[in-house]
Amino acid sequence: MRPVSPLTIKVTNIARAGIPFAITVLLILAAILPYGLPKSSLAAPVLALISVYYWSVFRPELMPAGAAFLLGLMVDVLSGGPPGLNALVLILVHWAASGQRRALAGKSFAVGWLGYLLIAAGAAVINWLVASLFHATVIEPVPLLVSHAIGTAAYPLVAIFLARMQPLTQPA
Amino acid sequence: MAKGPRLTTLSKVAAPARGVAQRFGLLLLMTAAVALLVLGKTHGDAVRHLRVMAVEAVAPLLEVLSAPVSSARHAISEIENFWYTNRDNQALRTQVELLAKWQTIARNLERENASLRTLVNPAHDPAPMFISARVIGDTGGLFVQSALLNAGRRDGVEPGLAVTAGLGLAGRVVEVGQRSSRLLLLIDLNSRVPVVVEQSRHRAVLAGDNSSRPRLTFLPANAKVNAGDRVVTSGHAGVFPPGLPVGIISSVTDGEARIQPFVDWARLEYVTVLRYRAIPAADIAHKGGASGRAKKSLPDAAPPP
Repeated sequence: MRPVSPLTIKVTNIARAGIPFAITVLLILAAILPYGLPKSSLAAPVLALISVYYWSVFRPELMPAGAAFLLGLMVDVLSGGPPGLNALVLILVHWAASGQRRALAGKSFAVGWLGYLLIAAGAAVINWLVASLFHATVIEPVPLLVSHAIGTAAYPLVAIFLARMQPLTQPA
Repeated sequence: MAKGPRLTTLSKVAAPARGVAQRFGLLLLMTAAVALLVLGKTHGDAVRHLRVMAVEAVAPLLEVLSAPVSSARHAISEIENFWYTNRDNQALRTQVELLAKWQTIARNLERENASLRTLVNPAHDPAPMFISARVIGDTGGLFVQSALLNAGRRDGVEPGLAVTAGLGLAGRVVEVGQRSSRLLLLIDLNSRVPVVVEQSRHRAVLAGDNSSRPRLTFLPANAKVNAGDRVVTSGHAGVFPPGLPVGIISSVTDGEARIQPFVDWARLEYVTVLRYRAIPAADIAHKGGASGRAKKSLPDAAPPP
């Protein structure tokens, strides 16, 4: 094999480290396309949540809090909702998931799923509280439950996809 | 952030420091998010402006990405149409028969209306201009019901304009960029539309509450409304043309009426932005009632063909 220059290795490693962030950006963009399916507007925040959770558990160094903040901000800007709401929620998800990674990473798939179920439930409650405060009304909680159910149901599929992507992030 | 440690002694000191920095960073980011939320509440316009600029930057990408999605939807609906041709044909035949009778009635009414109009010379509502737009982003999320459109200021879109999809009112434009705009659906928490119950002429405000069936608020206490009544825009804010179909009252429970909008939210694909400006109230006041109105109404007072 041809020797690779250290610079090339450095550049590829930086690019690899950016993969989790880039994948999440693409997921968010893909999620807001008008597919004409019911409830499809819930897809973007749900996918961002799953992705931030996944990387915070399995490669926390590649999903720092700043990245979670920016991804949340992106969801907020696109949705036109309260600015900073998803940013706040995703930072907290990152904090909770990376804090509990010893209990979650390297265990069976079901444990990861259960972890998502719990952390996403917490995220939903915070989401509801902050949004209710922001709009100064008690917001109908049903869409939130629906979105939590959709997210939990979609988690295995998205997690399998992200697990397939994970080898790309291994530094050379 | 701490630099990459070279000495082992340095790294021993740096490791806890980095931990502190990380925790501090987390706190800082949370504060930033909360600050944004507060700013969004106190300086809504500035935040909205920034958001429009950010969306403008993404809009061309979304426009390109949404094109194949749109074509795929067309292909699927073509197949669907083909599949249901026979059934639709039967249904349409029955409908044509029914509508033929209505057409006769409508013709008579139109003639009568025209002759009565020449007698009383009422102020005419200006005819709205249409701007067609494609939905390029099905945005929103948990607490927001909005969509991104591929028409903006350069196409004549302005904040506040009514947007229809198919036959019914879909919502109004809330944010406008040069080439994109945001449509706030009438089921959104912040949506308020002045409406009137078509039969009884009771006025009300249709308030979105994030559910699929918005509520009728400010309905007079003695108003009698029934499930099945049609609700149309009243045109009271002066921005929405009057008489746009909105929906049908689907339920009345404990004096609370809810509406099933005519628009099928899942099929929002092409929409029409209505450029309509009623005569501003200030104008009428300045020119002194009748004379001001007559002036405005003369150019388009010709009876409809």
